[in-house]
Amino acid sequence: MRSIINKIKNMFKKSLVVEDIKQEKPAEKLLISPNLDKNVKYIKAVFDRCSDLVVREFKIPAREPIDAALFYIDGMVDKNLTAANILRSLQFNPSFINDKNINKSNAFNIVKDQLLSIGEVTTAGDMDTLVQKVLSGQAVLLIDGTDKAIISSVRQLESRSVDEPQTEPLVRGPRDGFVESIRTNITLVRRRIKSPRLKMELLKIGTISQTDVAVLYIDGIANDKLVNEVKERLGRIEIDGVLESGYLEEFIEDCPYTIFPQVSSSERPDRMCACLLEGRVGILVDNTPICLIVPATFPQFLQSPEDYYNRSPYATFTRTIRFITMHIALLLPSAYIAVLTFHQEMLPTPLLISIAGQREGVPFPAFLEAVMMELVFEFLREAGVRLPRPIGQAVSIVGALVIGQAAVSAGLVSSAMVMVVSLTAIASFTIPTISGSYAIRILRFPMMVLAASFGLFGIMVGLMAILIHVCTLRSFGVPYISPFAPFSFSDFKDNIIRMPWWTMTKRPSFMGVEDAKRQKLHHKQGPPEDKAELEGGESGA
Amino acid sequence: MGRRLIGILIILLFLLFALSGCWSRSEIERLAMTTVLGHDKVTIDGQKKWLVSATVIKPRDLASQGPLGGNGSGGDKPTMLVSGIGATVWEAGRNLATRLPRREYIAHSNIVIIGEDLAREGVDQLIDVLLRSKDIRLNTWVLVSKGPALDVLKIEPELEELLSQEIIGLVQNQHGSSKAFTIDIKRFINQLITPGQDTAASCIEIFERKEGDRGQGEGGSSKENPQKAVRVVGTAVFRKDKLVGFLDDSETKGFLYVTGRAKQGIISLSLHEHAKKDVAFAMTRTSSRIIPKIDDDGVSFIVDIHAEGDLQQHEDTEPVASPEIIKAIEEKAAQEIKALVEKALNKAKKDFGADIFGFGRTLHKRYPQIWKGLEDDWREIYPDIEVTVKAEAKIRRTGMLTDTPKIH
Amino acid sequence: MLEKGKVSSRQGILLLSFTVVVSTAVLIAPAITAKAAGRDGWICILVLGTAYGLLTSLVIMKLWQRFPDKTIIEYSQTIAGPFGKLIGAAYILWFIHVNSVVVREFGDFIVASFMPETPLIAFIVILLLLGSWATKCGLEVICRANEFIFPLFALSVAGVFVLALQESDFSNILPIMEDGIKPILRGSWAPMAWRGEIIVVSMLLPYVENPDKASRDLAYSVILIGIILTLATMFTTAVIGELTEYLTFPFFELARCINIGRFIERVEALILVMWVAGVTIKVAVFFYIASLGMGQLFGLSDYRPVVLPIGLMLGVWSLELFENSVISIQWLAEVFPFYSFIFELGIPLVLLIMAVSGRKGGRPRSG
Repeated sequence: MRSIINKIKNMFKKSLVVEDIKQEKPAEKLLISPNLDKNVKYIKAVFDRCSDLVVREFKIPAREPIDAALFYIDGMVDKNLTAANILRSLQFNPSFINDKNINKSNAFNIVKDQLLSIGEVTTAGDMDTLVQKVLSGQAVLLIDGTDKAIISSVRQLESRSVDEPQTEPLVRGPRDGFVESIRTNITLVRRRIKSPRLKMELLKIGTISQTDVAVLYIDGIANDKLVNEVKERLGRIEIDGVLESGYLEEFIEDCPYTIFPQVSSSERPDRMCACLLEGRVGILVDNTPICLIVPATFPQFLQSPEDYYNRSPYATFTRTIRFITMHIALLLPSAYIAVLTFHQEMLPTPLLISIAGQREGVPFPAFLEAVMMELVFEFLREAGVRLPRPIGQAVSIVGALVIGQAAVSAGLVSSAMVMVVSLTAIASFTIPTISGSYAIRILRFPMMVLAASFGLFGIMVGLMAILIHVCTLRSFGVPYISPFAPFSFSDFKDNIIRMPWWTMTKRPSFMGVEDAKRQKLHHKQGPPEDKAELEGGESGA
Repeated sequence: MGRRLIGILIILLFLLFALSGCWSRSEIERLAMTTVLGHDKVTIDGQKKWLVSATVIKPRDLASQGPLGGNGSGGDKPTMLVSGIGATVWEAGRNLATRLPRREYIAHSNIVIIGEDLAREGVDQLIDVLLRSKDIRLNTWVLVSKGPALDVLKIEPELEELLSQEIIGLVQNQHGSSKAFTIDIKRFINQLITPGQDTAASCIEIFERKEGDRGQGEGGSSKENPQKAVRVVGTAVFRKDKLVGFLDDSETKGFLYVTGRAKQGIISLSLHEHAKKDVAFAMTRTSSRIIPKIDDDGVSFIVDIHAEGDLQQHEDTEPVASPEIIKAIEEKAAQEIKALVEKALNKAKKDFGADIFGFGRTLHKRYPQIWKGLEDDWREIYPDIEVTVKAEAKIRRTGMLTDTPKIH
Repeated sequence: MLEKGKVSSRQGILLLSFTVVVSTAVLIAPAITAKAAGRDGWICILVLGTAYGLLTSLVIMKLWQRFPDKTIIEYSQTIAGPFGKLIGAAYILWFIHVNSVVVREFGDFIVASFMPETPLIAFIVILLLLGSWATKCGLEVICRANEFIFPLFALSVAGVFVLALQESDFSNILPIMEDGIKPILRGSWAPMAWRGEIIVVSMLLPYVENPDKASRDLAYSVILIGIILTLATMFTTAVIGELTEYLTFPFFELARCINIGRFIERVEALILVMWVAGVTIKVAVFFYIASLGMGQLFGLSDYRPVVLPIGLMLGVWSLELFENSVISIQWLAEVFPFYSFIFELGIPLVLLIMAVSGRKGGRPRSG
């Protein structure tokens, strides 16, 4: 008996073992040699069969012409800049040419310090860095006789222009969104927070892809421990390529087995900046416009930046609506099933008769009906994503209604069911962040099963189970459902309700920020105290 | 790994459990919803048996009629009448269920009708059954029918689609005329078990409409027999748990005045000493207090009634827009109220010996020690208790007219 | 320490003890007090219940001040030596016993009121699964979950009162104390025992973060519970009147009577929903302290492995404890109070006296 169990266990074990990723780096660092030919040969060998590498071998004119070579990847550099500022400044410099003292040994320094008219210039001593820099879009200059290389920053990449973010449109608010280039993204953040306290540390993650990842935080506001934790978790990642921030998200999460996202993502720079100002840490990843923000609490997924730009009463109203619709999206189909199957006494008598009449002739029990319609709706939604944008959204909702109507006429479902499904769909669209809505949409189905088994009791059990699970979650140490629990009155001002700006004097307390005060206290505006001043000096002095 | 396996196994087990279970599931279209329950006692082969009857809704017919109704698909009755007989109430109920192709569901029964014979015999057993059942709500209306309850259930509703809606409407609408007493199970049973209080119930009776009343019936529903309809008027008076008699409409009005439940209604009176009643006083608010008085002669009660209302009809040619006339009308109205109340009191005390007004209970609340002494003999003392009625009426408004226009 | 989590005083003491006591007491308190004291049930709860609750909390706080880092199971060993282990074991058994009664009561309620065809074991298994999972997650999770549902729970209980106002007739409460003080005393035993359930706090005090607030929070909790339960009983009497003592679940019937404008009616199922939440927390709390206690008694390094066996025991006991509801109600009214007095007040009082006389434990802290 035990041997059988062990055999089964071993079967599982084998399929789970993953071979370690082959390291791309060689064990030791290869240094640049003073011999130019050797260097060039090596580089050509490394970039063998890469047709976009440009090798420009030339001689720097001097008393004795010095051999030099310039490497760059075609398409990643600004060719005009390269030609004008590197090649030209080296090849067309009268003083250099006529100076007697310049020879192979001191050419390097003179070139670097006096001749190159490039804004950003660094040096490197080993081949790997050189190769990496070439691949990053820099131009590398090797001079015969020196064992160092000059790396000039002449990068120019094709990138999408800054445009309205497609996943988070707003009515009121800025309309720029992140793009794929990390430099542009960082700039978008920097423009909004013009403080030297905004730090951005650059990492490279992905052994083959060497993707640039930037960690942003505001020194003095963000908790140091948090920042260090983020950097450490990112540093632990060993994967061959990072193509999107979503990869990183799953690596740095506290609890990977849950439906609930513990890292919030956004396409908007203003959202990122607001979070940074609250003491959170942002992560930008090259080649994707979606940034990550940690730590994340669940109420955040129901918030939209627009809440802060609109006035307080309206913002509170919309937030409360969203809170309610979240519950509708999660519970409405289950409540429908539960009430119709177990708790018919809850319906008013006329409604009961009406629904019973509609359901005459429908062959399926309420549970199957609900599951079928919900699934059809999910199919439609998924299909709608692939359709061209103008049609996609309309197809989702209208399609559901039309199909629903057809199903009713065919006698497959009852009309009340179509109403329920449409309401649920509309409710789930109101959740501003996509990752939040996924959790709710998926949880709908187990709730339906529970409702079909035990009615309202089952729904309640499901909700308690979700609650207990959510209470165990932490995102980088912050309890996931702050500020509901642990309850913090000052944080609640910015949760379901949105109190006016002049009341929100503190930053969220659950992040352990170092400097909690956000604004001057007792800041409420009012009419000027001395009205007489306004009226033109009737104060009778 | 092992732990995870166990966790997954538990979840799978639970899912199986959940999906195969659902013992209490009942699809809505498999339910036979009853809306009116009727209880009777009948004699069969010399033995008394319970007869339980119910009207069951046919949702299909109701739904196809649409929200407006009236364009019926062939005029089929939207309800089905079933009944069952048994030695106990539950057995009768189960026999009733044998007539139904769907599962019986009484949670939406808002009306319980007790037949006259059963009521006269005693309702104690019925109360036990009604309370124990989880489906009967405490705010179900209780009515006693004159005659068997089964006959009431056979009547077709006139305005509403369902008999239950018709009866509920009648019950809830009575406050406009204050001629019928309404009560729900909770208060009914409460009054049954309160010492010093006898209970009363609404009274529902069948009457035949005269030919001229037929009116514009819907196509296809004409019958050979004269139309029968129900109305809710009057009060069924119980002594302990047995029905002893009925109060008619004016006596009921008096009864409602005493208990402060006469919300609106009309007092017709005549200002002058001729029999024609041509002034109508429409009450909008009434309140009453029962004050027990203890003195050397024993216990007596004062019933203090205040009524407020508007003047709604005045046929007399005398101008009415003067405070003196108003005062006179008020006094007449108070006298009228007093007369009604005394009529009701006499009937209940002398003819029935039932303390439906709750004099005993009031005494209990105010003077518990004295009540203790009188409690056992209350039924004997009660018919001779002296009750003084004080009534006061106030006219607040006179409708849209200040004075009756003179006709030349 | 077996439990590494920390909870704030407000979370663990105030809110948790409220949910623990109110969730089951509000369901059946009116019936049991009405049987003994009739209309005056609310006096029992208000006066004697609160007094007993305050007394119990006083004893707990004094004991805890002497042993700030230990739970009652731990310091009973310190005070009473080897005898203390017996006391500890008795406490664990009592926790499990009470827990199984709670589970059984609630299962009975649901089966009787909503789903008669479903076998009782289904509800018991589900409740216990939830409770054991919460226990495994730890004290912090239980307190956080409770904090989340507390407003909903309290509001739904209070909401029932407010909505039932229309149907209430407060003259039903008169006459007060008609039969003197004896029926009130008789009817007080059960409410007192329920109020004493705050003894669970003695297992949680060591893990409270700001213990200086603890005694204040505990007192608030006792008073708040008193107010809510008194109101519940008063309203039940006002609305249902003389029927109260005959009904099995008077508060539930009260919820059924709510009828406002023909619109808000038939809402009793929503009350059920909040009760499930409250009872889940209660079951989780008792489950947790039983497991924690067992871990402390046997010197385990982690209490989690004990959860499953305790769960099985709970399940079996719930099913087998009472044969039918008549026996269970009788047991609750007559046996449970005196049985619980021993554990809620009796033993702690004895322990306190022994500690004071034997000079055991640290200096009592001021305040």
